[in-house]
Amino acid sequence: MRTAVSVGYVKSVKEELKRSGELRLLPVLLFLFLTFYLPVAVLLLKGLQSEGVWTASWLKEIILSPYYRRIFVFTFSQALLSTLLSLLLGLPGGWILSHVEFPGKKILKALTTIPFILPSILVVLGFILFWGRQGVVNTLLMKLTRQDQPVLDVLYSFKAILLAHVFYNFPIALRLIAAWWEGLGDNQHQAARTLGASERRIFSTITLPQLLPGMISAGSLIFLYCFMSFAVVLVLGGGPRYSTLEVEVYRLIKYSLDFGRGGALALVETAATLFLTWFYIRRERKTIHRESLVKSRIPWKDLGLRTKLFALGYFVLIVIIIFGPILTVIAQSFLVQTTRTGPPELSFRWYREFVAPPGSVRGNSARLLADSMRNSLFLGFSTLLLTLTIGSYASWVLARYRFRFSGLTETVIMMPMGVSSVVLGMGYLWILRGGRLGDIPPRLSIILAHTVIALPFVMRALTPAMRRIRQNLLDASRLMGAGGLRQFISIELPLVKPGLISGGAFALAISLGEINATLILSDAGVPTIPIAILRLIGTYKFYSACALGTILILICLGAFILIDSFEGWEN
Amino acid sequence: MKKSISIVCLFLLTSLLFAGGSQENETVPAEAAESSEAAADAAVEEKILNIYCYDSFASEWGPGPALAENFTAATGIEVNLMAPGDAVTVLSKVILEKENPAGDLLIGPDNNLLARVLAEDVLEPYNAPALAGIADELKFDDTNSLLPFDWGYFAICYDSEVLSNPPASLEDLTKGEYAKSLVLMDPRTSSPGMGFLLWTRAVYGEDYLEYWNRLAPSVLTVTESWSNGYGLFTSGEAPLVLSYSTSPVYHKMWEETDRFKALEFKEGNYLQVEGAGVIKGAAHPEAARQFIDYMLSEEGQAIIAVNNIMMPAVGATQLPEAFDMAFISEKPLLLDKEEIAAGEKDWVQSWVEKSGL
Repeated sequence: MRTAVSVGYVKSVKEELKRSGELRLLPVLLFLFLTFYLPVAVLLLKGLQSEGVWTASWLKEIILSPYYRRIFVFTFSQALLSTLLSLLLGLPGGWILSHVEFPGKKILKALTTIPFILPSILVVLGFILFWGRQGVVNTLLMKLTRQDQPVLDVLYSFKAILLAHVFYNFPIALRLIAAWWEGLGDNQHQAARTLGASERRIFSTITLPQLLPGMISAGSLIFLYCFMSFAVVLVLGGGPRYSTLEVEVYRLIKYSLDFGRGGALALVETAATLFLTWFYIRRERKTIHRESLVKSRIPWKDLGLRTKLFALGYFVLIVIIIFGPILTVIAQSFLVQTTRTGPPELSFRWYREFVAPPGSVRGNSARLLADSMRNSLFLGFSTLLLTLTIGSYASWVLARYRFRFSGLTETVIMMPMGVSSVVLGMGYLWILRGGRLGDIPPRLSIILAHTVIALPFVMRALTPAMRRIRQNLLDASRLMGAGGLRQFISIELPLVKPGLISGGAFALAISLGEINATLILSDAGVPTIPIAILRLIGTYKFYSACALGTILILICLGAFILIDSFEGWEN
Repeated sequence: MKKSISIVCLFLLTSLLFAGGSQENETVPAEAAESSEAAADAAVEEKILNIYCYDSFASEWGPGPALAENFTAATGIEVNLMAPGDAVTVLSKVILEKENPAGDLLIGPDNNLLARVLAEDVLEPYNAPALAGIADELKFDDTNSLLPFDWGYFAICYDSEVLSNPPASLEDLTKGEYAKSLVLMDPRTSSPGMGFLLWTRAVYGEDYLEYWNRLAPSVLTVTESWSNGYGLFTSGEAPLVLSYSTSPVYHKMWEETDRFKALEFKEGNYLQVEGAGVIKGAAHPEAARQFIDYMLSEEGQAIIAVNNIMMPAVGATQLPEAFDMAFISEKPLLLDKEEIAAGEKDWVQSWVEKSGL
């Protein structure tokens, strides 16, 4: 009797699965179309037009040019190398975060998201203050080795580009791998151990294959990010010998207003990223594992000595690579050089000057500080909520329904990751021309733009976790009478919680750090903290910019700790 | 629950977007009618002025807010500062909405952008009375579409605490003692970068790449923006940087230090003049002209000079002492706008491929 029921039930599930998932994703796709595809397509299509007539001549010119071919090859290979390095470095951290319980873990997790929120100018500045010729590392090494020439020549070379990309993207690797690993069971490991397999063998034959989808998924994001890299490559690489496609797109579209060639180049760039996204998504789906979630974390004191040492060594490495540059920015904001040659002194001068700049008779600065904080937080948390809502719905549909073109559909959602911010920005300029969106409050349009940009991160954190939930668990819950919405809330959402938290943190970080779309969509009428930083730097106030950067970091840490404290919300 | 909320949210949002879109269609003709009315009878013009300017001009530390406040107090015209980005982005926006302009006044394009401004035909000439007080070499646009309001030279600045023997010419910069000491900007992405390329072009003509190859060993790095490059300089990474002749004025005036100095070069320094112009088809052209007059008045020029850290266009402006830190070049350099328009792309492309950097 019971089997008859479940057979009948399985049939109905199968029928339901046959229904087209594309239809259910329609609202999401419509949203993306309006806020992303329309502005981008408008600009890309200009690459196929010349004075109103369709033509492939721009495209031909770009593809046949050896100059652009060289840039393409460089862009591709530096992105690949950076991705591999970031994943390699993120792997041990992913294990520690997902398997070990230790004090200060939440703060550590929160800290790793900071590279995202800082405007790239501050990151580059931090890099130079830390790794540069007169930077912290070289000053220390020079003292240790008693030399008066810089010892470590890291910057202005290919190495520096890789280092900076690891700095930026290692947190993605860390968080996404940890979120994936947290959902993996260890019964296969137990079985292998009982059968006498060595730990190394277990790692290479069981753990690694299990991790692969998570790593590929994190890798796809990192690759796209490095592929789009711009300021970092130019400044830290040392000049035009290391140019990426993004630099050329910027040059053609933003600086020369050459929409023909620029559109064609952006089209080539987008086609490449589109293909890559699609490829990764297909790979990921083939290697999907549906594992159980039974899991207990090892407390720090129970770790073996070797593991402890390894973990400590790893932490030191992270502190140097990730926090070195950030801490230097923070330290710089409290230091003032009072005499010409003397040591710098502790001071709040740059903070004071931010609230009341010297010579200013207007009280605008203090008001700007308050406004920008309020705006940043409002936009950040609205983006967080909207992205998680759309993201969890979309990933749920992707995981539960059958699609005619599933790879393509997922690629369409992930695509905002692979389009240059210059193209998106100019697309928005075009959409907004003549105040066409004048009736939409700028805050709403900024939230929508931030949501589009952050959605791929949330999707990457959620979709694999959603797919991994075993069908029999859902069947069981349904048999017990928890259908549809109740099942979604009481079973599926709690199961993907690590993904929700990780994705939410990224969404918040992206919104807090975004500048381009915010500036264009609001005509600078909605100042956020990064915009205020940009304005400070644009008017010679570098140290006050460091001070405001520090404030941004603190706000962010507070917000992330708040997000992470939702860890226990279902109890 | 979450799912249904998300669906409701989405539909609300999308319908909002569509609602905005349909309203826009209705309002466009009304606006057009309004603007033709305004053009027909300037006397009943609304007391509003929409200004497009670059972000740091409109910022709390730039001249925009003070100018706007004083202008409103004097004329009763409400000023709306719109700043969607840097000078190039702002110009792009004005070009994109050429058919149906939302702004009245454009502030920011410099002499290097002039050819593009004229080719796109987005500005209306205005023969401001104050032009009489401006030196002829600053009037870079003979159609008076872009009126000069401030200027400076591109200059190499140096840190006097690190370098005791600063270079005195472009040639000096190539000397071995300045190896890895200079921060430049990329002409593909930054206007000082473009200015320096034009500068070498103005001095060395066809041989400019040969100069760049000799210069390459002195260059520490090429940054994508002035902000980034100047940040490297003030944080002590390099003692030489490409910036403006007026940069030391800022440090003197607000940080009370004369540590950073700008160098006048023997070959001459390349001139940068920033301009403002009335947007063609603007709804409030009379207010825009009044604002230009105010910018070129004694009070306006002083506000611009002090807050934008540039030299005022009107020669008679009273300046704080700190402005003595900015030199006046014996040999201001400027390439012809037709020459720039014709050669710019090739020069940049050749620079990227053959500068030796």
